Amino acid sequence: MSVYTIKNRFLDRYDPFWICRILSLKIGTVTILLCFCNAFLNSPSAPMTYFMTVIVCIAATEVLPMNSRIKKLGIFFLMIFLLSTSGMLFGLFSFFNVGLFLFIMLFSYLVLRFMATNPKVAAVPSIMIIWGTMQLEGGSVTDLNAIANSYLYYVEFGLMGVITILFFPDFTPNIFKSALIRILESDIKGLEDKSFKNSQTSVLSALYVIYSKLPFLPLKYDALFQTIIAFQHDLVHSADLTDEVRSLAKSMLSELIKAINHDKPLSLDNGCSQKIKALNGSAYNAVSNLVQGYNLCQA
Amino acid sequence: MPGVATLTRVHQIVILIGISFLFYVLTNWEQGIWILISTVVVAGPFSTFLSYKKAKDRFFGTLLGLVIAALIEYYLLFNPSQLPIVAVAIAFVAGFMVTRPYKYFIIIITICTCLGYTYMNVPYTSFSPMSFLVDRGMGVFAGVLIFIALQQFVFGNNNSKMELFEESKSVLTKLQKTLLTYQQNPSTVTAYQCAAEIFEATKDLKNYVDSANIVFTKNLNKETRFAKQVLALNKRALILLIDKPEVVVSQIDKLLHVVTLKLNSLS
Repeated sequence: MSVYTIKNRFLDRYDPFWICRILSLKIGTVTILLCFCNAFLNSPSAPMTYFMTVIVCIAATEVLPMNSRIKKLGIFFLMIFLLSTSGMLFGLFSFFNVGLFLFIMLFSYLVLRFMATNPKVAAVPSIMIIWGTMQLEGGSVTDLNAIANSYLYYVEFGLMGVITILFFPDFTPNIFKSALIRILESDIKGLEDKSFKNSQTSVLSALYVIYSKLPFLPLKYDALFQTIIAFQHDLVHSADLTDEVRSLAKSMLSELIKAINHDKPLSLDNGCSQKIKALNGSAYNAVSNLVQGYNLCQA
Repeated sequence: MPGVATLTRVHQIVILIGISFLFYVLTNWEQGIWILISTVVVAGPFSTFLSYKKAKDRFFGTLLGLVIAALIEYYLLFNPSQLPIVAVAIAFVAGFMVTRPYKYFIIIITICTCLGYTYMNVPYTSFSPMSFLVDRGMGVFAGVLIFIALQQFVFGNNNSKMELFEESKSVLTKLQKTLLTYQQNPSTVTAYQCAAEIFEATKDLKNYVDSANIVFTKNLNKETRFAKQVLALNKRALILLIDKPEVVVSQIDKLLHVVTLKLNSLS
């Protein structure tokens, strides 16, 4: 069992939809590259600010929903520019107490007024103000020559972020599949307990994760989404199922979870599905549609 | 166009930042910059309701983060060449904590900021863990205290009430829009899609209502009552869309009528 398999019983408790795992892998990758950059290329005597800026910007490219690498690069460069410029502006005003006070008030007002009211970038103004404030305690750039040098270092370290964005694999299908596993697990509960309702928070969270990731996935995932919903209606919450069919459907769903976890297609030729077919034709159709929808995404 | 409550909140946060900065400059407190950082971080979520919740988590999360940061810095003092290994390890952990509840998030942020500060100035400074802990801990405590004092005694609750009302109204408008979408195309897939949208749209309002008893210390006010009614309507819509497909179309028509009447009564 690897940390990066889709289903991991330890990590799933903390990270049910794979989002933290992707962030961790991406931030870890860029940090390794930054350490190499710091070791082998020309670097400033205190590189931590550059490290943290690039790491925060890389995290932003993963947290904000975007469907292409070009858009991710655009956001990355914009964030680097905003954070570096905030720090440098605070540095330039750091000589004057009253001037710095007025500048902080004006800067805070402008970034909060025009950015924080937009829900998509609501967190950015706070980060910009914190970045600027950090520059006040040593290490700040206070002249134009230092600013030019500092920008060049941001370009150098920023290139490590660019490499990460360009070569980091797209794990969006894993998010979809982990959310699918959460729904299938609740389906198993629904088959065991007839009073189990899909309007519970755990199911709705998984449903929202799947729904929100659809625009960033191929069209065949849309078909799978529709099949999952039909499956809830046709089988899990169907009133006319015998206990035997319920039990067989549960086994079938467990098999499907295993297949998703191993990233392999699932065959419908096994004994379980054939028994369901013999006992209840409509239940078999619901199961086979779900399995075929999943297999299509694996192709 | 941002609402009145949002614009008022912008002004409040700017005043808060200004007062924290003055406190830092006038007291000439070593590590006093943490006061300013704390107030920005606490006020950062923008809504008063989320800020209160954050202030509590911020205080305990920061203390724990400071202890861990002190231990790491103590280790690095004797093993400075291992900084890259420690940085990569922290980066992997950070990925797991960034989207977790705020308490965990702030622990990792504190560790990163502390390490960033120490190695931003001079890589190998003389280091005393106790003064490091006390200085920064007091800075954070003062920052949170300034926030709570200003919020309670200067800014008051009026804007919080307006904020809650604006958020409730916005959620109700979204509910109306979502139900209309369902009415135009009443299928099982649309029902689940609409349910997902409703679930996401109510997240902030749920957090606001959860924190309402901290923000409004007195009895239930009409804004909180209205917010709870809006949440109940959303919950009803979710149950109809997901759990009761057999009655959904007729019941959704009735629910939409109620939502529209409620919205009309507000305007």
